[in-house]
Amino acid sequence: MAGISLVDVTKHFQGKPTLAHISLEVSNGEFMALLGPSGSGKTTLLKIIAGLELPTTGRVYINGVDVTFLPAQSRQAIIVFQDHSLFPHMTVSENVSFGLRARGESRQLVTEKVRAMLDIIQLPDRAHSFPHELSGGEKQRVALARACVLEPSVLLLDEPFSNLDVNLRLSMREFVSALHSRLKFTCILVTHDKEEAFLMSQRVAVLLDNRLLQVATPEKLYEGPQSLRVASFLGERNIFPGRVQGGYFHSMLGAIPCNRPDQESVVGTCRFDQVSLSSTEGEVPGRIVQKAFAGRFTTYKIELAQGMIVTAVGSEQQYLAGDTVHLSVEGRAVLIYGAEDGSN
Amino acid sequence: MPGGKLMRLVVQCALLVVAVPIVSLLMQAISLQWPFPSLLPPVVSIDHAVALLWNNPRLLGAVTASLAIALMTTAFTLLLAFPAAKALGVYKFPGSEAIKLFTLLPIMVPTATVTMGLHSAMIRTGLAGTFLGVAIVHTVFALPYALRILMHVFELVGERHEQQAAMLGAHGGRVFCTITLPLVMPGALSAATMSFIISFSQYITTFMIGGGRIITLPLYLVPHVQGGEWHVASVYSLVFVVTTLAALTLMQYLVRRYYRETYFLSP
Repeated sequence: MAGISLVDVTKHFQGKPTLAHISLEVSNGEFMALLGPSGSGKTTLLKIIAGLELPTTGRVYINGVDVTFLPAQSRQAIIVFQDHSLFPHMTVSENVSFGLRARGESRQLVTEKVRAMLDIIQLPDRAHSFPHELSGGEKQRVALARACVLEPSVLLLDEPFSNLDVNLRLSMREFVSALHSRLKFTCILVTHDKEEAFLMSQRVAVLLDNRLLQVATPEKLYEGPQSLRVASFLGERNIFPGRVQGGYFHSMLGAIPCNRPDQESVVGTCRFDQVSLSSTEGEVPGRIVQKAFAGRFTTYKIELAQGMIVTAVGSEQQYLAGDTVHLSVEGRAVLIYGAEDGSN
Repeated sequence: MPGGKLMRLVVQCALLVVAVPIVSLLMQAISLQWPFPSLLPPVVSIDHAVALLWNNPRLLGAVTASLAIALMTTAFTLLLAFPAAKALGVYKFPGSEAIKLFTLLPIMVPTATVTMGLHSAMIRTGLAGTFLGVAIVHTVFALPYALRILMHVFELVGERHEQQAAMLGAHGGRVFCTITLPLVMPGALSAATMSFIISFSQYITTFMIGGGRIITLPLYLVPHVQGGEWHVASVYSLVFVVTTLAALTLMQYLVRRYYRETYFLSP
């Protein structure tokens, strides 16, 4: 059964579309990432699922029930916002117990559940602190606890880690992943950080220009973006124009076999790490104009004869800026998209 | 440190500005006469002031009327200002900016003009000369201030906490009492204080709508000022200051205590 199901959801703000024809199925207990740049409508989509916004058209189902017009109180879908929105006038334990008290649970049950939850988030001694006395990571954990203690069927995370520093972000990601595998809620994580999306989720939905362009596992998305738009959004790819003729894709990187009908003006892409460099053999000569060492790998920017810049990533160290190298790309690494519609 | 010296000077000047009128009021109150060239009153006695205050049912009536009307005004003002301030402070809708400006109209137009118009309406509805009528007219003049204050507070607070509470399963009344009210309480307290003081110091509106039947403290006080009875006017003015301060302090104390006990200190 689908945990969350969106059917043709559209949202207009003052006549302008913020979301166009979004259809998405998230399975029960699945961890999905919603990846997109800021302003792509990710937060609006979460608010529609949680019941804070009404869609202009379309339907929202949670666990098979049509909740499109149900108020937020009756949905069991909780957003944890980036700014954590802890109630500033309540202590940690009052914040965490808020939902249970609103449900009218017995005092004993509330106390037990809150204590157990504070143990899970490893803040048992902070029960009587106020939010302003907590650090950023602690606040975020309390916000998660406040939602999770209700055992919601749907947890929606709106960029919950982007205000945290790098180390804290890493440990919070692990913490949320562990919490998910323990509590098994259906989860949508909104993020603009593709690494975060890949790391944490079972599937990634790419939201660009108010549309859902691709939904796939992180591996599939990384290997094969469905369109040029998704490929260029994910980045770390060389994009080069060319044409298809007689079963070959002709571009500045040479002729690469492909099985497409003849077509003028298409676009090929390949990942930076799929360009191999050699000082002796290879089809395309180029000159290294920039070398950037980043520890595990080195990034080279290579200028080709026609002035085009290609980026290559390798663990080799032998080249220097100014060196002449030969480039080669494996045929199956190159994805080809029609230039006009952007699809492959 | 020159900065510290300057700061001390500013504070001293500020204290002087507050203290001089109060002290001169006090001296007026205990002097039977204070002819022009003397720096200090020649004859000082507290007896007359005590006599004015003691066993004076008309003064007591005026104080009670003032307090009752001010409390009614504060209640009406907050009841009206709360929803309006939330709507204007939190939601954006076509015309909201214009409405924000229009809410200031009662205090942009001369008081007498507004009151004159309201007076005829009050006569028709039978509210002229009643406590309720006077409180309603005071509300008209307190509302713009209270609305402004609450609106800015709502702009700051927004609705994210209310939305969060709703997602956690709390319904309207609970969200209002446990989230909205405590969050905007500092602003609500300021708005209440403002409304109370505005109502307490109304003269012309009380005079016109009350039609001489409703005697509040300013109505009781002003004839003595106009009649040149400085001594009597000073004693009543002190009553005015003390009553206002006492009422406002009590209000703040009660609200603070309630919210600290319920939300700030509970385990």
